[in-house]
Amino acid sequence: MLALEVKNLIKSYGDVAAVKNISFQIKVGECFGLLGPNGAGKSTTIEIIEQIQKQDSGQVFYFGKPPTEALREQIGVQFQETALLPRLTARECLEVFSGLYSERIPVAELIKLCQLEEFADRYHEKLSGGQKQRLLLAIAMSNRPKILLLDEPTTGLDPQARRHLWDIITNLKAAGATIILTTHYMDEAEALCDRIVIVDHGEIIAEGEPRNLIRSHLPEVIVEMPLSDGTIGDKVRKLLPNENVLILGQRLQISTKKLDQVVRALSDAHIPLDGLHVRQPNLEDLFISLTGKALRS
Amino acid sequence: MSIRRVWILFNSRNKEFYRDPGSLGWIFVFPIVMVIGFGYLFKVGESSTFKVAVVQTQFESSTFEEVVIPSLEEALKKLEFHALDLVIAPNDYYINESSPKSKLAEAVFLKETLHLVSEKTKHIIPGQRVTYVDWLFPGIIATNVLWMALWGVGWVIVRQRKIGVLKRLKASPVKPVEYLAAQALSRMVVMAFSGVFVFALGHLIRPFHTEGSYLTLFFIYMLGCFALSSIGLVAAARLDNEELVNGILNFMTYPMMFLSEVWFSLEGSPEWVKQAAHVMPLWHMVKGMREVMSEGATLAQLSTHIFVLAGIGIFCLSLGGYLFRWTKD
Repeated sequence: MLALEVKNLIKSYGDVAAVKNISFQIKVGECFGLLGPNGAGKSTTIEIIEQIQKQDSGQVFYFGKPPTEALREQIGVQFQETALLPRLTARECLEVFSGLYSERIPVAELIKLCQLEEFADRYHEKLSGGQKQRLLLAIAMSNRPKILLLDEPTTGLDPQARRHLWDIITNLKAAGATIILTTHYMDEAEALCDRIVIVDHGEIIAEGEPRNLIRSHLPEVIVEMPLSDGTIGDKVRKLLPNENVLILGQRLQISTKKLDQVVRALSDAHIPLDGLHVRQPNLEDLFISLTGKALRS
Repeated sequence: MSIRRVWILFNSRNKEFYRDPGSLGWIFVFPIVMVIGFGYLFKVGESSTFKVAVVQTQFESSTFEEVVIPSLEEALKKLEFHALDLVIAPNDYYINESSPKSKLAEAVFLKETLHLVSEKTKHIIPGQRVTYVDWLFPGIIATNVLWMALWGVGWVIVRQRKIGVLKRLKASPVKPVEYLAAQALSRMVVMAFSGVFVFALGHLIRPFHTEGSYLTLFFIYMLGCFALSSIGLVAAARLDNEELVNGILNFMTYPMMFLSEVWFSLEGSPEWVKQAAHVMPLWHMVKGMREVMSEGATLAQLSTHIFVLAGIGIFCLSLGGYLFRWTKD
């Protein structure tokens, strides 16, 4: 059964086309990721789904039906940029927001679920980034939503706080929640999402399960080495004319199906192999291979 | 409309208000400053010597404190409001019949100038039944809430829209009317407390005689608060720019202050100015309060003011609700 279906969404701000004809479907119980760099149109798409913004054209269907006023009772929302009612403690924020819904999870349960015990009675203005994101997630969950929409839930968090949030989302997934999240962290999408779409310049450029997407687009392995001097890039390109050689900042990256031959050629040409390592491609590599640019540039 | 949601939002707005020492302090500090100023005004008016204006003539006396005022018209205005007790002109003298002090001053004046008095003709100025300070007091109370109503509702909503609070609420089942009602109600509670506080404080400094009923006075005061808060809702319906809403609120406040006879009477102003005053909610609020305090007006006698204030309140509340958007687009 489909939890959500998005058909041909289009949205412009003046002359700038933010979303150009985006369509996708999400099954009940699925964790679905909208991936892309900043400004790709992820937030606009998710806010149209949440009925916060109005699309220029296209449709959104929840459980097969167009959204109604009652929809707000059924979805849980975490915005990328938002503010809570001023001068309330974390616990009071939960009481206020869950109180606005007819179906609600008891506040004590939410506090436990999102691990807010430590700072539940602190004013929300005084919380750290990670604590605030956890509170916002708890608020998004407070009405036992059928669909949870999370817009960049871990942006700006330190690695530990991100892991913390991933754990909570993983638990929600295990409990059968339908989740849509946007992120520009590829590792996050790989860790959490059953299925993803990659969005760039307002368009979907790839869609599928993260592992399958990588396997089908990037059957190669990736050889990475530091650029010890400026001439190495050109040397390697001449040496390996049939391989995909990229220079990314201070790194040289070669995608190849013939690892053996590549390493031997580099060695024979006396190119220093210090710091060389080989890895499986990830979503970041997929994005680069699809768009020719790094995700966070 | 869900009463539960209104109640929840009302409470959270109350918490926001009383947990901010700045705004909480201000509603007490501002009236205290005003009332102290008011007390000073009263003290000045209460001096033991008689205040006499000598206009375009010579007069010397040890009993009177003489004030030189070049224009007779200005002197008479002051006499009317008890700022003077007696006005002496070349051929006439003037008293305020409603002021006991003025009559006393006349007696002293007559005794001292027995030899001259045949030359002067007596005039009686109708005078206000209340002193200027009494007259001013409802104006002070009304000005105090004018800012609280417009900024406490209008500016607060615009700020909440700007920082994203309203976007968050938009994603919840809250309806605009529930949110707006909570904002206006919370503000009206604050204004009710503030009004009673200022009134009581004023009373401490100088007990007022209130001719009419306190309940009627409170009713017309709260109705004024309702009308002013609703105007705040209209100003805040769509904007997300604090500077702009500040300008708009100022633009509405200043004409209202000057035309509503808060600080001075519009007697003698052109007819169009008086007509303009009659559309101002603040004018009806202040006038209504004055009528209750000095004339003992009943609800029935206040019906015009009640009708206008309730009308403005309901109209602006509906307009504000209709125009309201959670977010700018």
